[in-house]
Order: sequence, then C-alpha cells, then structure tokens
Amino acid sequence: MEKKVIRFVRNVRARLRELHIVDKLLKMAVAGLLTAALISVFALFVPFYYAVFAAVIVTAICILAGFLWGFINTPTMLKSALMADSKGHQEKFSTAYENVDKQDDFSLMQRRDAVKEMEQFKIRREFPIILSKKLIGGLLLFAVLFAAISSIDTPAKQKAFLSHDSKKAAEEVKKQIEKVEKEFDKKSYEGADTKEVAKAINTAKKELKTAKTRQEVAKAAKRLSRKLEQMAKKTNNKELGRKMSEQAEKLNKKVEKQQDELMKAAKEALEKAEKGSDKEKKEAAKKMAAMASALGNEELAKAAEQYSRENFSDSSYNNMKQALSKALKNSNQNNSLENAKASTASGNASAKVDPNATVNIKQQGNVSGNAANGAAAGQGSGNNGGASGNGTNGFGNSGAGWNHGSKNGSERDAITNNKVTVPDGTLGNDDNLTGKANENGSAVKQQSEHGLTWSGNKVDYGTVSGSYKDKAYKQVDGASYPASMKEKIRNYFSDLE
Amino acid sequence: MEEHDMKQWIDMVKDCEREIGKGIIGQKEVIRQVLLAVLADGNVLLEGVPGLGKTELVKALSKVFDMAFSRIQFTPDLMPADVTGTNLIIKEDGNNVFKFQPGPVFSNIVLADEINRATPKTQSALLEAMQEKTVTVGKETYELPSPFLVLATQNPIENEGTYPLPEAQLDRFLFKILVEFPDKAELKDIMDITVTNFKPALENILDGNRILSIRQVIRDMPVSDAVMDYALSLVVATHPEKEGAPDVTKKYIQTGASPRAAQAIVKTSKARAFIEGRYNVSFEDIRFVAYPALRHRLALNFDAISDNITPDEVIHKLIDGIDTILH
Repeated sequence: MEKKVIRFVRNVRARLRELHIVDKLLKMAVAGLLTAALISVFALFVPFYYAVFAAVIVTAICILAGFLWGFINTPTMLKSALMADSKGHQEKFSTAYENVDKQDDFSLMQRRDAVKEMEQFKIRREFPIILSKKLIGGLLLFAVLFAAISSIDTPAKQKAFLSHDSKKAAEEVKKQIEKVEKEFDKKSYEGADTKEVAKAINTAKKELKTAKTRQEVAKAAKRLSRKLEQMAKKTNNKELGRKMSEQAEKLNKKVEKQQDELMKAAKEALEKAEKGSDKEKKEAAKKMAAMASALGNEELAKAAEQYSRENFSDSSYNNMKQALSKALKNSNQNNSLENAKASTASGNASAKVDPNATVNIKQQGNVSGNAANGAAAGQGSGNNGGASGNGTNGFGNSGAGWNHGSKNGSERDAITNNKVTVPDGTLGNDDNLTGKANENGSAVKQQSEHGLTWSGNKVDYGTVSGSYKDKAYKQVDGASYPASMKEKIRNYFSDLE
Repeated sequence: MEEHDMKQWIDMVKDCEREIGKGIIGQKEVIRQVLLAVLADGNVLLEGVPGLGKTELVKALSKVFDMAFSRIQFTPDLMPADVTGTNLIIKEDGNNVFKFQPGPVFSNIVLADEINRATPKTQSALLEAMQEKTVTVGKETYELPSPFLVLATQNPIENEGTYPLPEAQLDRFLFKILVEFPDKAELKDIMDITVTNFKPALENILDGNRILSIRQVIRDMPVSDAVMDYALSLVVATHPEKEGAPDVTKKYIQTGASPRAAQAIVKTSKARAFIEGRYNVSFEDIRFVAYPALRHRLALNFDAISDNITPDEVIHKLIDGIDTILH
C-alpha cells in the first residue's frame, strides 16, 4: 500500500513536470521569437549578416532555457500530492504521503482510504495540457513577424551581404597567403630576400584586413603576387626565385578561381532569373551586386538595385545584363593594362581570358582571341603595339601596348625652374633635354659626377622608398579617397620598391 | 481499533446530529458546531437574542447523549455558592455536621443562561469549574462529572446592567456560536412543534463513556504538515505586531488570538473530519472551524468599530489571504 501511495504521487509529479515544461517552453518560445523579430528589425537598418542565424540561435536557446526552467521548477512530491488533493480530495493524498511510514491504526485506515481514491484518480484527465491561447497567439504572431521582416531586403542587408562576401573572399586569400608565408619560413631561405617577402606578406595581410570589397581583396592579393614575381626576378637564389614565382602563380590562381566562381554563379543566377521564380530573381540581384562589388562597378551595382526595386521587371533585367557586359569589358581592359604594365620591355606577355573562352594566348605582337559566349582579351607589348580580341556572342576587348617610350623626347612647353636629370648622359641628344627656351628663358646644363644629388648625404633608396610607401599607405587608409584612386596610389608606391 | 468500529461511531455521531435536529428546527450549523465542541471537549458560548431555542438545544443535547443536564439562570444577585454548591449544617446521628451540597454545576451539561448578567465573582466561580473541571469549597476540592460541558448564553442586546466577560475569560470558551433568527419556513416548523401537541421524541444514541472514547480516537487523527501550517498561519496572521502581518490585521485588530485558538482550531477540525467520515483533516475543516474558534478571541480596535467591521469579516479576509498564498 505504501508503494502505491509513493507511485501515485510520483506519477502525479511526472505529469506536473510535463505541464510545467510545456508552459515554460511556450513562454520562452514566445520570448525567443519576440527577440528574433527585434533582431530582424535591427538588421533592416544596421548591416548584420548573421541576423537570421542569431535569431534562430536565440530562439533555440530560449526554448532550451524554457525546458530547463520547467524541469527544474517541477513541484516537490508533497506539493504534487497537495495539487492532486486540490481536485476535491481533501488532503487525503498529501496526508497519506506524509504518513507513509507510520503504522498506527489511524494512519493505516487513512492510507487505505486514500489508496481507494488514488485508484480512481485519472491523472491525465485531472491535469490536462491546456495551451494558453494568448501564448499560442503570441507565438504565431512573432513567428510570422520574424519571417516577414527577414524576407524584406534593405540597403543595410545588401551591405551586410557584400561585406560578408568580401570577408569570405579575404579569408580564403589569407589562407593562401599563410601558405605562402609558411613556404618562406623555412630556414634554408633565410636572408634579406625572405625578410622582404615577410614584409610584403604582412602588408598584404593588413590590406586584407581593411578590404571592404572583393575588388580590394583581389587587388591586395595581386599586389603581393606581383611583388613576389618582381623579387623572383631580382634574387640571386635560384631556388628562392623559383619558389617565389610558384607562390605568386598560386596566389593569382586563387584570385582567378574566386573571380571565376563568382562569375559562374552570377551567370547561372542571371540565366535562371530570366524566366525563374521571384526567389531566383532575388538571388540573381544579389549575385550581380556581389559582381559589382568585385569589379568595383557602380553602374552594375545600380542596375542590380534597380532590378530589385522594380520588382524584377524585364526592362530592368536587360539593363542589368547590359551593365554586367560593360562591367566585364571594363574589367578586362583594366586587367590587360595592369598585366601589360607588369611586363618588362623585353616583351614577355601573357594574356588572360575568361574561363568560358577556349583560348589562352601567350605570344608577342599582334594577338587575337576567339571565344564563343565568352570574353576574350588580347594583349601585346613592346613596340608593336597591341592587338584586339574578338568573340562571338561575347565581350571583345581591344589590346593595349605599353613601352618605356622613345629615346627622343618630344617637344613640350617650357616650365620654369624645372630640372631634368639624366642618369647617363651618353644616351640621347642633349639638345633635346634643354628644350626650346622662350624669349626670356634660359636653360642651364650642368654635369655632375655624383648623379642626382647636389648637396647633402646619400640615402639608401630602399629606406626612402619604403618609408614613403608606409606613409602613403597610412595616409590612404585613413583618407576618404575613391577606391580606384586608393588603388592607384598603392600600386604606385608598391612599384617604387 | 478497527475500521468498522470507526464507521459505526461515525454513523452514531451523525445520528446524534440528526436526532438533535428533530428537537431544534433549523440551526443546522449551530447543532454541528455544538457537536464539534462536545467531541473536542470544549465549552461553548452561544450568542443570540432570546427565544431562539438555546435552552431547547441544550435539553435536546442532554437527551440524545443521555447525560445529566442542569440550568443556571445568571442574575446580578447570583452568588458563587449558588453555582458551585456550599457546605450546609445538617443533623446527622444527632449531631450537627457540615455537609457539602453540590451546586448545579455538578452535571454533565450545564446551561449558564445569560452569563453576562452575573457579577464577575460569580462568573469566575463557573469559569474555574470550566477550566479545572473541579470545584473547591472551603478546603475540599470536588471533581466534576465527565464528560463536562458548559454552554453559556449571551444576549447581544440589553447590555445595561451587565458584566461583559473579559477577554481572558472569553478565551476559555472553545467556540462562540452565533444563533441567528430562523427564516420563515423554519419559523413555521417551529410553530408546528411548539404551539401544538406534537412533541418530537428524542432517542438516546450515545452515552458519556462512548463520548469519552470517541474523543480519544479523534485525538489520534493525523493532521498533515501543510494543514497544520495552514491553521497556525491563520492564528499568527491575527497578530498585528508580527512581521508580515496582513493589512487587515494591522488596520483592525488590536490584540490577536492566543495559542488556545490554535488548539481549538486543530481539535475541532479533527472532530469535523471525523463527523464527515474522513481519516484526515483538510483545509476545508480548518476554514469551517476558524470562525467560531476565532471570533471571540480577536480584540478589534476603534477603526473596526467605526468602519462597522465584524470579527467574521476580518477572519474571512485573513482566510482569503492565506488561500492566495497557498495557491
């Protein structure tokens, strides 16, 4: 009989625990969803990429907390017995439970009487799980609010997406750079060269840290790779030089791979969006915005925004497609220019083409590239000028050539107090250097054995240029110049080294 | 003690209640409360206007329980010896000797009618008997019969020339029962009995010894900690000087109930559970007996008098407050 009493009270307690857990779970779920809705409202105005993830986590934590709260707050055995008594059993159960160990006549009679009623007591019926309508209503309301607000696109969300995208790209590039760093950590490469590599790597890492767009990430990586290539040519250590070239190549491949993947994804999204669902069109708009960020193209960014704003209309779709085409064209032109600049006068040229193209060009002089449904770019260098590339249904670019210029200078207006210094006076015609003086002007020619300096001390070039570069970088980072301008400045000072 | 014995006694007590009800029309609550006091070995103060059947109630009680009954009409000239008895000189075997003549208090059931009319000296003679269950005359102490029960009555009107019982002596009464005026239907039934030749015959159901045994059994009834705590919380809540005293206590009560109140509540709640056929005390039992057990033990202040607050209203609010905490 004693066991019956204890088992009964235990079963009541278990049922009450269930009720408590459901009640607290519901309350905390409502609290969690309310917080989730507030987070999603916050994310409408402040860039926060992980808003949905955070909201889900918060809701899950609240639900878990509700479960634990309900579990911990379960009534004691005696309280459970009293709660069962409150259903009209006049404290028979709690008295029987308290006196379960007593064996006097009265306690035994009382226990028997209580057990009779326990056997008739339907625990689940007496303690039904009743869900509060208010709580259910609140739960549904906040869930719908959260879902609705999360699906709204705002500039802040766009910004968050782009920022996350560029950070992701930066992270991948950083990993590649760390591999490069590891490679040059080896003792066999100790020396001034590896120190310079380490310096370049640190600079690249800093740039990656502050990079806000994919374009900045790609350029930071490309600067490092260019640096490695330059150092590879200068170094006397063949093995080191080979390693540098190898790592530079890997870096370039990494960046290209990122861009290719982005391009592929953008292309696919664009194709799907042409006749796809709203979701696919939304995705396409996002990918175009990412593409615009990667290429640094405002026109494409605006076109993507317009596409979203005008509810994915056909005209805005075509606009966006055209803007992408233009952006790619501009990008390839810029790439050609940079690649050609990186080449030397001896005319090593390499051409980069869109992965959809089937042509890879590596030759001097006039070149052409053909590609179907892709972009081709041809580059030439040296004195022969550039070449053009043609593509059907693709984006054709013209080539660009660049040289150090002719030995004969061209006539220009006289500039007052201008000094022209020629390192080696044996080259060229000195008459060209003096230029044409105006009526009152005069040009003075001086020859010096000591080169560029008139007076003062000689300073090591590397120190000066390095110091200038550091100052320039600091200035650029803190200033509000346009991104393209910052890029030009960085490239300039980087090339000085 | 076997369960069937228990059930038999419970049935007998219920029969007593029913039997007494034949002699007293209506007043079911009064009969129930008087019965509880009998089973809990306590004395009762009945308050009601004249003519409500208080004397008839006591007579019916004595018939059903087969116990000796006496009635004392308290008047201002009543002397203590008139209550307790006195030594008288009588001639015995040719000699004049002092012999104790027991007073009306030497009975099982004593009706002390209008106890507030007698002088404090006379009141205290009865009250000593109530408390000690003995009477001392001269150098001799005489035991009163057992069971011994005093039912005192008071008239709530006509207070001129009366000697109200002080709180210390009111405390000795287990219950103060308010006898209300009957409704019309009950009044008609009363007429049927009292102004006709019809006289209900009351049967004897229990005797004094059986009552003593039942009292013994009732004392063994278990009270759970939660129920005991409930009863004690109620008594403590009547004290305004205690920390956490309810607002109603602080506002209206001058002095709270004594520990006798807690004893009264617990004893009578056990008796109620017994009559109800249960083997344990419940919260409902406590709530039922709280009113008659506490109403004469709370000294209300002037604020209560000016706001027309009765002790029952205060007790009701206290019970509500404790019930809220309990839930």
